[in-house]
Amino acid sequence: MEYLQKCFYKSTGWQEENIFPNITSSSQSILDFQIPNGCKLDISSKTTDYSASSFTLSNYNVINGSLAYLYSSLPLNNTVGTKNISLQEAISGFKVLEPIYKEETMDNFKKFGNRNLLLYGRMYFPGSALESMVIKQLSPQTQLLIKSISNPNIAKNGTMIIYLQSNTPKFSREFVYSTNEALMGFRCLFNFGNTNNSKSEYQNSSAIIPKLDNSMVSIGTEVWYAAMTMSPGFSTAFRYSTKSTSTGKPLTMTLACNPILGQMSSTYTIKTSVASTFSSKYDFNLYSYSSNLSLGFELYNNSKRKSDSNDYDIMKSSETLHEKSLLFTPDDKSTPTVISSHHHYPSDHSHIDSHSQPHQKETVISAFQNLVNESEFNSVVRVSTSLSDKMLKLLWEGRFKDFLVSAGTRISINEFTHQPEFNKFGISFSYAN
Amino acid sequence: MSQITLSDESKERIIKLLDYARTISHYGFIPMILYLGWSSTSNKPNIFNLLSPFPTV
Repeated sequence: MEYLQKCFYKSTGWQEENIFPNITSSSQSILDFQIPNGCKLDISSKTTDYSASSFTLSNYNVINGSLAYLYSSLPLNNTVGTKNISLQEAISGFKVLEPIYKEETMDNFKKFGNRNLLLYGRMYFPGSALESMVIKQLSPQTQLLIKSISNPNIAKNGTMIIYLQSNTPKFSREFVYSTNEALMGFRCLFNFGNTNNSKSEYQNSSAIIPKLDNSMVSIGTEVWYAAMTMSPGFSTAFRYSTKSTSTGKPLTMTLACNPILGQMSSTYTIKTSVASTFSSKYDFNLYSYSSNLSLGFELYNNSKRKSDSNDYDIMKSSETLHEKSLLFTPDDKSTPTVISSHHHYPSDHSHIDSHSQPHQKETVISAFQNLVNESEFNSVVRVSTSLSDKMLKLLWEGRFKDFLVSAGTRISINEFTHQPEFNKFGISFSYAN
Repeated sequence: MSQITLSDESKERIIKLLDYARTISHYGFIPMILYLGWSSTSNKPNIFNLLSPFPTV
């Protein structure tokens, strides 16, 4: 269902990475990943083009289940079942951040119009608690998001959070109101650099101007105020994301600080190769001088190139083909031969001289990106450890027949006996078509 | 300045009304999603197909 939400965002041209809570999402997905609790089975299916349903059964403490339905005013055409989905799409991992161009967001608006709507409801059994979500697009760059939980058995019958988000290539703003303690919040994120240029203009000018287009600098802040308890909150974060010009490998650095609690946290995440990502995080508290170093990595395996007959692949590659198509010689992957696409260059330029400096930079970066996009993996292992918490988290996600399986455990050292013990263990199966 | 004063009876009535509205939205939300999904599809699928979360052949 999260995947369908992502597909909806993709169709409406909504940039998920451009909002403040996702500023540290890359390092979070490698260091603070979720481990399934107990045994869980998740079956989802797309009943019609506009609706989908899902059924979940889990045995955490007691056997419980939930039934979810989703309606989208946009046809869910770009969705893929668990059988054909690429693992990188299915699980949230390192995200390569690209500067956002105005043209792209406007394109989607023209294609689908505005006023798009997504409704999602999930009912939990036993207890009949209802979890609901409404996404209403008010204009191409504004959306209203309402999430609520309604449960007759809890005090005040549940809670509701309302988000009013506006998201443009240059900045994003978000007003949040939660009925729980009348919490009010304002979050914003600002991207530095020129986003007004359209993508094609940028490519034409790339030969002359030394390029900084591979990096992205964002600064964001959030202010909270809980009206009932009169407690304020404030934090700010900085993100720098770039791609190495010599190897084409993307990396992201973030620095977040909360002056009220004196908490500072810096992260560094780098995609070290096509199949691996490494992330480190250092937390420091100015008031208590306590610190914590967390390290984590993810490793994909069983890589193979996608077959061209796959429909989904064709859809995806058509986007990259727009810029450049790359051919790899099987023996030597590090020196890709580049053939320019027919849209931009005349045919006599079909073999670009790879020694020319600006082009070489671009080819290395796009070669790495294409290699990542075209690789298909069978499983991924994530390991994360934290020094002061003395714990180790392991997660394996992979494919078993048509199912996506994820199994994980958390091992920590007992403070009193100094013996390692299993805190958490879980396995989850999911199937979607 | 005159204030609008509500009698206890009407206060009770409003509370009751809000309570009903909450119950209706609690149980009516999912049927509404299903109806919207059903009505926007051209071939009007069977209600059982729409309800079942299991993939149909």
